Amino acid sequence: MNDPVLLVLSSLAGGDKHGYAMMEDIEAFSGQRLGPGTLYGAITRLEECGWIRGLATAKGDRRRPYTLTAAGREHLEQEIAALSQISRTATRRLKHA
Amino acid sequence: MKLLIRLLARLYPAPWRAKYGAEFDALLTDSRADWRAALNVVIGALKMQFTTWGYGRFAIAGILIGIIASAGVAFSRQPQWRSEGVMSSSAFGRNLWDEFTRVAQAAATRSSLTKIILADNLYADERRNSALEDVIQNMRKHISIAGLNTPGEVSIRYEYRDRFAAQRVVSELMSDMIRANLDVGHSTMDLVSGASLPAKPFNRPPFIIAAVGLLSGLPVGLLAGYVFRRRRVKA
Repeated sequence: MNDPVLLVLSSLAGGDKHGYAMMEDIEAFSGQRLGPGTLYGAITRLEECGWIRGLATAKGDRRRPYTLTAAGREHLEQEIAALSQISRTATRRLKHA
Repeated sequence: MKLLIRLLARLYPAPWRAKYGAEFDALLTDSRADWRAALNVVIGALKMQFTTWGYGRFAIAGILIGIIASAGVAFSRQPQWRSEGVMSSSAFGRNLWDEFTRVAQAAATRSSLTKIILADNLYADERRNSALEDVIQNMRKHISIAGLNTPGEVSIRYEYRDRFAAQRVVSELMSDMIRANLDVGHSTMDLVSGASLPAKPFNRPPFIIAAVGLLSGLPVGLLAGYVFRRRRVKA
């Protein structure tokens, strides 16, 4: 999985996070380090879709945390289901190859 | 490097910076700064700019890129020289054209062109990198036969990057055609004027280059606009 949108959704599925925390989390669970431009491109698209929402920042802190919305959770579940189906099919075919 | 990346972040559209600028700046402060991050910010900013562009801007950008690219290709190409010789035939009207086509096909066979290519050491670079068949096809594209105003006369032309080689090839083609006419022709074929030695290179006029850039850049620009706008709608 290397789609930044899915990586961000997956990261936020584990709890609210600001940009840098997402970057670190994604690197930890996927081994991929998203660049700042890629990360914020994904955040912008996800917020426009209504799949994530920015939360209020703490006073004096410029780092805005984001949270997964109900629509975002539903979208992530659909994507994971599709990926799981592909993964199962590929695994089955490899066993018979 | 962090300062440079911060400056590059100003490439993002103003409305985007108004909304995300502060938190993006905080991310840049926290994260590692290297050339990859700088490049990533530039690409991200360009993509974000594209999402704010209308079809008009994409069309203009496409045309400009097309013109610059075609001008770059034109200037990087070696000059081409066109040699020309004139032949006549006793055939008339439609028969004249049929006659020259038949004779030219009989003369410009694979084996005769191969002989010319090897004898004159033509397309040396191309022959190192491509099959001889492709080189022959390429050579055929640069050979042309055109009717002239004088009845019964046609010109044989060949374009190449060396003017002396271009002249030799036209001479050899005309000789081959006269020989081939003895076998497959139905008329008397003569040499009117021998292969010319080109005095100046034959290059496509700048307006043709601009037209190619415009015609190729416009659809590419509009397509890019469609893709970015569609992605934005989907997102």
